[in-house]
Amino acid sequence: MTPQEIQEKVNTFMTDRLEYEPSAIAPEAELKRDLGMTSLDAVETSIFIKRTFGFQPERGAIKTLVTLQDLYDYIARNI
Amino acid sequence: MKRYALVTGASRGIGRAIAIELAKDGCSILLNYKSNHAAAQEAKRLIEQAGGEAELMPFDVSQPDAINAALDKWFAAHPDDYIDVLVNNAGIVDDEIMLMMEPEQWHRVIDVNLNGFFYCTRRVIEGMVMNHHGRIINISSISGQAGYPGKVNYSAAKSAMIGVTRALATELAPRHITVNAVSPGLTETDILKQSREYTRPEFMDVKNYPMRRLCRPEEVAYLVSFLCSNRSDYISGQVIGINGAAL
Repeated sequence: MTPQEIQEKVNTFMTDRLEYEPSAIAPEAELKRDLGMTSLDAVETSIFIKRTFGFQPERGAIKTLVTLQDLYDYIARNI
Repeated sequence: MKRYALVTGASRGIGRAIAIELAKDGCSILLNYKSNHAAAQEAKRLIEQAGGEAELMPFDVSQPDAINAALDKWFAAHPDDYIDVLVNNAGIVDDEIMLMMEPEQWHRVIDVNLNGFFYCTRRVIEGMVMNHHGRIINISSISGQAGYPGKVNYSAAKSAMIGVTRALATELAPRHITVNAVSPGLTETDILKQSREYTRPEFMDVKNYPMRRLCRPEEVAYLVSFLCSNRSDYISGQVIGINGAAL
């Protein structure tokens, strides 16, 4: 899977499932401060990654990421 | 898409009545019970007689490994489905006045009536969260709201069900999952016959109750049916008594 495909899938999840503002979606956007990611959002993101990219993020791993780009990179490293 | 409802302790009493009612509402029932296979078969038969469908899912709600084994198997066979309704009903009594209560009596009642809630709910809510919909009903009791002698363990577990309901409701509200507790008064079930109240005339004489009768399992089921319907989308974190004005 290319970085572009990862980005598209994650962005679609962010807007369609977590209902984040499309205009706020950008690689440099901070998950908590700019997108408003909650603990429940982080858990749902973790389940989304497991189902979409085929690996289970370590417990609490998503909450350690700062930006959306960090999330893309994390997925790319573990896929 | 089928709507699946897991009802714990559904082979008899309130659980069975709830399972039948939810089946009438169109849910496909996952009928949990611990060991009474004959009663579970009879409950399944009654559900089918009412036009519904059910599959038996035996496990002990106090044993997380058994829960996970049963649900892993179910999820593997239903990769595109999730459990939209969970009714945490399984419960036991082991009444004794505090001075005589053994630690085992305390732990056993807490394990089934309270820890069972945690183990089952923890395993089921992932699907609800991912589907942004779900209904969790916790069966509490009037014993969790009012105190009765000989029921310290049961009252502890049932009042805890009220606390967990309120806390979990706030956690899951952003995913449109409602969590409510139903709190029946003394109900005409087999478990009542194992309760201390059953041997006490002041509890069993219906003249002592405002409506001159006990609660019927079906009446609890009607309330659960409503709370699982789309008419109750905005009702969450509530404890609804069904006790004929006894409290």
